[in-house]
This record gives sequence, C-alpha cells and structure tokens, in this order.
Amino acid sequence: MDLLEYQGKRLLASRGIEIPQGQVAETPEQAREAAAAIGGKVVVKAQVQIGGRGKAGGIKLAENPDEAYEHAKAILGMDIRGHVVKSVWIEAASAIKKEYYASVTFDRAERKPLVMLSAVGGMDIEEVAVSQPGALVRRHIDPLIGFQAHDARWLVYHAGIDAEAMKGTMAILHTLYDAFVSLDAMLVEINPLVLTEDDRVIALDAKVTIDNNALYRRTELADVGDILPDDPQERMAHERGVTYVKLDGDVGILGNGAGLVMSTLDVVALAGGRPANFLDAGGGSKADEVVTALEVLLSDDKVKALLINIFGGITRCDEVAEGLLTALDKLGATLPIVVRLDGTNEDEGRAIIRDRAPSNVVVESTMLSAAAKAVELAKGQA
Amino acid sequence: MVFVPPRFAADAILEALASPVDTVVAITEGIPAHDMLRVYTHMKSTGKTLIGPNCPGVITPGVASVGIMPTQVFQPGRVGLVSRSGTLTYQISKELALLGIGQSTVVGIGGDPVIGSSFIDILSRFDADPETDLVVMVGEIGGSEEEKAADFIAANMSTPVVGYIAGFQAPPGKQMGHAGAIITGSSGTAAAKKEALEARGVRVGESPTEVADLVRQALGK
Repeated sequence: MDLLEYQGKRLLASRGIEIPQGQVAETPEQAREAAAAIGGKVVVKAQVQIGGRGKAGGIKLAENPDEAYEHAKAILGMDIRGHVVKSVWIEAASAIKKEYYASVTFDRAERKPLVMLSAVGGMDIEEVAVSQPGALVRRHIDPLIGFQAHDARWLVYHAGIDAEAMKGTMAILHTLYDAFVSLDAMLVEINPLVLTEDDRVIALDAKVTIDNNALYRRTELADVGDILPDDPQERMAHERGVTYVKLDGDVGILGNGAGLVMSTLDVVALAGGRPANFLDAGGGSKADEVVTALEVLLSDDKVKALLINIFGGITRCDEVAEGLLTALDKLGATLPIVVRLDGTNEDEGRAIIRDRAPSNVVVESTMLSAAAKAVELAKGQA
Repeated sequence: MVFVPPRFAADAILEALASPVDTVVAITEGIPAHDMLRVYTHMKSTGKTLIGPNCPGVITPGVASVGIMPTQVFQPGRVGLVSRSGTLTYQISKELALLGIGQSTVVGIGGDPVIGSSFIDILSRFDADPETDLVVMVGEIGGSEEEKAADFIAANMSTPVVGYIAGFQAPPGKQMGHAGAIITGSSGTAAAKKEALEARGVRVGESPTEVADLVRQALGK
C-alpha cells in the first residue's frame, strides 16, 4: 500500500523527523484557511500515489492565502497520470540551502534492506543514479543486526553530506531505518531531505510503501484509511478482496495463480486479442470467490467475451464450475464465455458445464485453443 | 513442510530450521516480507535448505512429493522444471505430458520477494543431477533473478535450459498478485528477461505450448 505524502510525513514526524508545518485541504476554501493559519509563503502540493507531481503542475508556491486558494482550485480534480487529485497538502515554504536524498528500501536481489543516501537530491534521483553513480551511495544492512552508528557514519561521509548537516542526517537515517522496520515498509524515502538556511535537516517529502501482507499487525495505520482506486472495477475488486488490474482490451480473463493468469494474457495477445484485465482468483478458489470475481468482470461493459482458464491444484475444477453457474444465474450474463478446466476434479468440472451451463458457455480443452476461441468470439461481438 | 497461516509461518519455519530437518518446504502465501528477511538471513547461517514460501512444493514423479502439486499432472521422465509460479508449472508439465515428456524433479521456488532457494540454487542442483537431461526454467516479471540465472547458465551449466517468462502484457508499475511480480523501472520486464536469456543462448518459448515444443526439439524427439 502506497501512502500519500502527508500520511507518510506524519508517520515520520511522529518518530521525530522534522517536517514543515502543514495541513490537508480537500477544498480551495480549506486551502485558504490552512495557508492563513500557517502564515507566510506556503507550498500547495497535490496528494496522489504517484511521482512526477511537480512536472505535472501539481506543486505550486503561494505568496498568500488567496494564491493558495487559486492553486488549490487548479490542482484539486487534476488528473496526474491516471490519479485524480482529491486532496492537497499545504505546508510552510522552507528556506533551502541544500537538497539531499535518503531512503531505505527492500533489495530483492540481495535479500537485505538497502539504505541509500545522496548529497544531490531534489531532482530525478533515478537520473542521478545513472549519470553520477558515485553520488548515490548504498549500504546493505543485516536485518538481524539492524542499522548501526557506523553505517550512518559511512553513509554521510561517502555521500559527501555537508558538515553542518551530518549530525542531523545521521539521526534521520536511524529514524528512517527504524520506521522501515516498525512500519513493515517496503520503501521509506525522503526526496528532498533538506538542509535549511538555519542549518536544520528536515523532510520536504515522504514516500512510504507498506507491505500489504503485514497490514494486519500495523494498527497505527488503521486511521490512514483505505485509498480506493478511481476505476469502478478496480474499486469493486479492492472492496471485495479480488486481485484485479484493469487493462484496455475486450477479452475478460479469470484464472488462478498470478503466473498462469499473466501467461493467459500473453497467449490471448499472441492469438491477436487484447486482454481486458488481470484477475487472479487465487489458490484454493471456492465457488463463491468465483462468483465475486465474475461480478467484477461482468460489471465492465468493455468486456465482449470471457476466458476462464483454471489449472486446479488446490483449486477444484468442480467448485469453479459451480461458481460459474451460480454467477450466471445471478447476473444473467449472455456474453460468450470460454472455459478451460484442467487439474483437480477436471472431469467433474467439465461435466457440470456440459450438462447444466447455458449455451453461451463453451468448453475448450487446451489453453491455446481456449484463448483463440475467446479472441474470435470477442471480435464477433465488437 | 510448513503450511500454517502467514502470521505464524515465520515462527514455524524457524522451528523447523531448529530441528534436525535439513530441508524445509514452505507453502504459505502472504508472509510479511520483513519476517522473511529475518528468516532468510538466519537460514543462510544454518546451511540448511528452504524452498518457498508461496510455492507449490517439490515433486519427483513416481518417487516422492512434498507440497500441494496435483500428482496426476506429472509423469516420471528426465526433464527438470523450476518455476516461480505454481499453476504455470502444472500448465507446462501438462504440455510436456501431451508430447510424452516426463519430469525428473519439479521445484516450485515461490513467487515472493524473499524466497529460500533461487533459480540458481536449483539450476545448479539439476546440473549435478544424473537423472536430468534438460531443465525448463519458468520465470515471470519482477526482480532480477532470471537475469542472474541467465549469467549462471552461460558460465556454469552443461545441462541445456529452455526458458519461459510470463507477463509480457503486464502494464508497468502495476502489481499483479505476487508480491514479487512488481516491475521496477525498465529492468524486470518480461521482454528484458527474455532478451537476457536469449543473449546467453537459452531458447525462450512464447507460450507454454511452445516451451514444450522447444524441449521436444532440444531432446531430439
């Protein structure tokens, strides 16, 4: 789960990292009030779960509350790469002397936490990593030992952090690592980390990604609230706990296991079709989970044909077939549906469909032929 | 074999590692990544083997099975199979079965960001296995394990390898179910992985059906 900037900042602030004074606003009026309360120049920042806000015009400096009102009016509702801005964060403008970069992330290749620090922050850090690799220093941490003082010293020294910022930066690195562990984060990033004119080290931004598998034990995040996707099918899937990603084609896909579903999308594309979505019904799918998944798929009127591709391991094909019949009964869908069932209880599953399914449901025996059939039927409906 | 709910799984794996058992197979999906970081780091110091988590297990058809794989899909043979995805493993085994090709051993290494055994760990075991003539490696988007495996194959393996990568249609930056299947930047895409493998002489099938056919050709059948 990606947190919004202000949510991440508040979590860091509660752990002792200094952030500029700020408030959230959901209307231009609230933005004006926030700016008046903060006083002086403020920055109006779009709150979306995606980077590149500044380039998209989602971050503006306001000299006074009226300007904050105007900027908020322009930014709220803006679409930044598919994310609609629903709130802005109004914060006191900072007198910046230097901009740094600091992060703790999860290095999959090394299977260790990775702390990165750069004295060249504030701009596209990925660009810095490529053009000046020496400017971004990296240190892996043993998760059983944790982040130590010598790690912090090594990082600030090798990154070339300015003398007056060293102490503050080292303290922030410790806090950042503690936050990474205690929040079950996959990423905690501050870009820019700023040295102010009066020599304080403060966080001007925060990007925090939490491991979804650990949300059950992160009770402090309960009030962060669920950030719902804008797309209607993605929102519906999210609310019902279905793993779903919308794509732009017209062949709806339901499968079990992320690998098999991705492979199904690829095979549909090879057959000349365009997949409408990724939907993984998961391992051990029961009939009612199949019903829920189909409800999500069938609510998308771009879907012209459906391909159900199941390879039963712990998922039983007869359960999937029963779920399909229940869903069709409930939703009365008439679009063509191609079903491929293999694995555990495949004969029972196929028999259920053969004997009891309506005529718009056809069974194919292989993944390849099922994909070709679904593509053909989707084209026939277009 | 560890098959307990995610919140208890790290403890169960550590308990298994503390016992005289040498190889632990963890099936559980959804273990917090930070738990697995600690478990993995400890496991490395014990010298024991962990397969998974979030995997279907290991099977040597006709001999032994530890996990949740549907045994009827497999038949004894001389092709090794190593995969990040459970159902895709079954799919490819089925395609091989249709061509009359069986498996020596099938290993599901799991789809999580932190897994006990990597492609390279399993590939090196297959290379040393006199009962394996060829290995099928089934990867997917996310991470860089397939790219690292490509280097390992070119430098160290005498057993031929056929590859498959799922996720060409995955949009960048979207999570596709497996925590591990996240595209980060330009590396980790299906196209980049396919290219890395092919550049080192590993043939990569475009579909599970084509993979089986490449295996058939490589075996001279």
